[in-house]
Amino acid sequence: MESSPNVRFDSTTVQTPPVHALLQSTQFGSSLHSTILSVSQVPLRDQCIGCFAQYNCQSVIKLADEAARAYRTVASRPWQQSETETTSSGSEPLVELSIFLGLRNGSLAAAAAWNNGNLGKIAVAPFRWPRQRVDAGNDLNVLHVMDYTTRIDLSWKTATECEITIAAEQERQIFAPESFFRKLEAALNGISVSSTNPLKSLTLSEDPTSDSRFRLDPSVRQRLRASIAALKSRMTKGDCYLANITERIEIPEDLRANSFAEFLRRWGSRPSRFGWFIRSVELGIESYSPERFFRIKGSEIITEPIKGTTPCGTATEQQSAAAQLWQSRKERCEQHLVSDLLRNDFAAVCVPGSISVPSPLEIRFCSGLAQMTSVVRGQLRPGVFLKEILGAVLPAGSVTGAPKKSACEILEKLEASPRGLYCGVIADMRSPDSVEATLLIRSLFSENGSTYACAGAGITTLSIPDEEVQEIEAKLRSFLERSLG
Amino acid sequence: MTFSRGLTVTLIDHQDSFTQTIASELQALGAQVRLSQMGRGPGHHSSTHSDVLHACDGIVLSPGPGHPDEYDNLWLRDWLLTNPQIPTFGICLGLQILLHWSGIRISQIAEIPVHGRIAPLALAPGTIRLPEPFASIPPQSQVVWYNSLGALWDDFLAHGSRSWLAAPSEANPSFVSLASHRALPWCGVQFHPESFATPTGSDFFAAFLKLCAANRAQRKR
Repeated sequence: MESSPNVRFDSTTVQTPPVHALLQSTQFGSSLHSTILSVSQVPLRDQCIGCFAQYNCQSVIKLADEAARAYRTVASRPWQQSETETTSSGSEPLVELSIFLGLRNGSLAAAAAWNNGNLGKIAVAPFRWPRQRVDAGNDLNVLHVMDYTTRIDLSWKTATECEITIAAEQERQIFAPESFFRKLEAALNGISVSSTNPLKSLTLSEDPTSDSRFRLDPSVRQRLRASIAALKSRMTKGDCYLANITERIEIPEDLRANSFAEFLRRWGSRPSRFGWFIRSVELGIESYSPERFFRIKGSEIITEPIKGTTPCGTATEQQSAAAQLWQSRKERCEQHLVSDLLRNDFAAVCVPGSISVPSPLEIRFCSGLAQMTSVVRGQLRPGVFLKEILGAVLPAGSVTGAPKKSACEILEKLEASPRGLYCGVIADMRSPDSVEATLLIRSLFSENGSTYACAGAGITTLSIPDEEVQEIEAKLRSFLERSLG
Repeated sequence: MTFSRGLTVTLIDHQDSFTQTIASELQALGAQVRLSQMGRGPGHHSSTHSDVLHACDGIVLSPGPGHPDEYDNLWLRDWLLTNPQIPTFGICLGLQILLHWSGIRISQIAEIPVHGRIAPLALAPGTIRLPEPFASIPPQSQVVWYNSLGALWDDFLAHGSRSWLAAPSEANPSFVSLASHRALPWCGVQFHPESFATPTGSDFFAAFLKLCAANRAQRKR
């Protein structure tokens, strides 16, 4: 294990302890939710390729001031009046893309920014980190790579147990012939990504018989209806008030993007807010997730849970789509619950009184979907470790339920298969105080030789079992149809 | 908050997902919070809790899953009855526990529970005054409910009104929304003051801490 290096970052010298040290230096026993995390390290393997893409163009409609007064939005502490994240409103699409490749001796990062549909030149170099090249003779170059793409994968083992895998190399020297880097740059720059209309309509096929591969088996539907009924009866007894039930289906392997370029084409044709692509011998993740799990920037942490989604084709439909979501009592109640749940999780690691909901029940529009989300923000306690933060917020509130412990115990008995990487978290960590974590929903996974997709629905006492089963099926279908391209 | 400086509050956590928020509400008002876990089922004996109850100025009973009789907490009732000067604040399940101890039945409130419903406590201003210690809070305040169970208003009138003062809300008239004991410093709310959808929420915690401070001053006299 390397000692803590002093690294230069944006012309300031920062002390950066290795990520595994951060994660291992705190015990987990005090966690409220008895989340057990086992930490293992795996180096990025040979032939592992991955990318993290972020689509920074959403138009957002916020609640009117009058309606927002029903909520405690901003607490009265002066340091909390920091600016909310600026969101561009529709006209200036900006896509950020970082690509990483696994090599025998470490990882290699490439970065590109995409403006107005034009993918900039991809440079095979660690983004913003210093690099130096040293001639080692015989056309063999040494690339000194500071690890920009520390990757943290979290996978559910059971409903309350999570495994963290860190694909992290703090600092590596990669030996490769100069020609290799040139070839790599040329190959990456050859990937063409079509420009896109962010509001291109997402047409859901309403006919469940359209493709038999995406249909749930009648016995599965029956089981789901029974599980939803069981959840509702536990809810009337007060055992929980919100539970997110999920279903997993095996899919043919040929539905996966067969290459990195194929993933970029799929993602670029209808960009989700976050895109992840990981392909190695053991593991495949192809994620079109709309949901930010958390973002840490300095000492500020925010989360943006999504509850309530409706298709919204054109810009003129935005107001009516927003009104539709705001008028749905079930969606509103779910949003209240999940925001309170995440406020509670943040309270374990944040300064008392610092947690606010600066933007309750806002509607985001992205690639033909309108989604209701609330921004929950907190000020991290000084000296809190990333491991403590993960322990406090996992398993993720918006894909479990409330009270979380009770809901997880009930769900574990009702769900037919383990969730695996689904509903896990994947994070892009540029430094210990800059982490962008995505919730792995709307994703395809390949593990242990099988490929699967999952979908879920939030169940409350207002749920109608048939409608929820249809929702799960519709989510699987819309997502898999996109995967087919 | 000068009145709550140096106050120590024991927060009994019924394995709920709102307890940390309650703790940070109390801390933000200046109180020290000791957290004590209370699981469902038998085996939570007083000896494991004597440390957290020692020298505390108030007790908060958290919300949580299930019915009050699933919790093995009669030792806590006995402790409170032998320390009748210690203010106790129950939230949701916490209020149900306090009422249940007084022999008031806790049952399912309706076909469809009220999970995440926002409504004012009283629709018209000035129609009622909330009982102490909450008398200074405007009764038309917006609050949020997340409950399946509760003390039905008829059950309360039959078994509880001699020892408790209580109010239903106009939006949910069938069950007790807020209650305060006539003789003991016990109070509680069926809604969730810690929720972000209860804008006056911290007023409820401040009112309780004021009660704790007043009782502590009396004890010291």
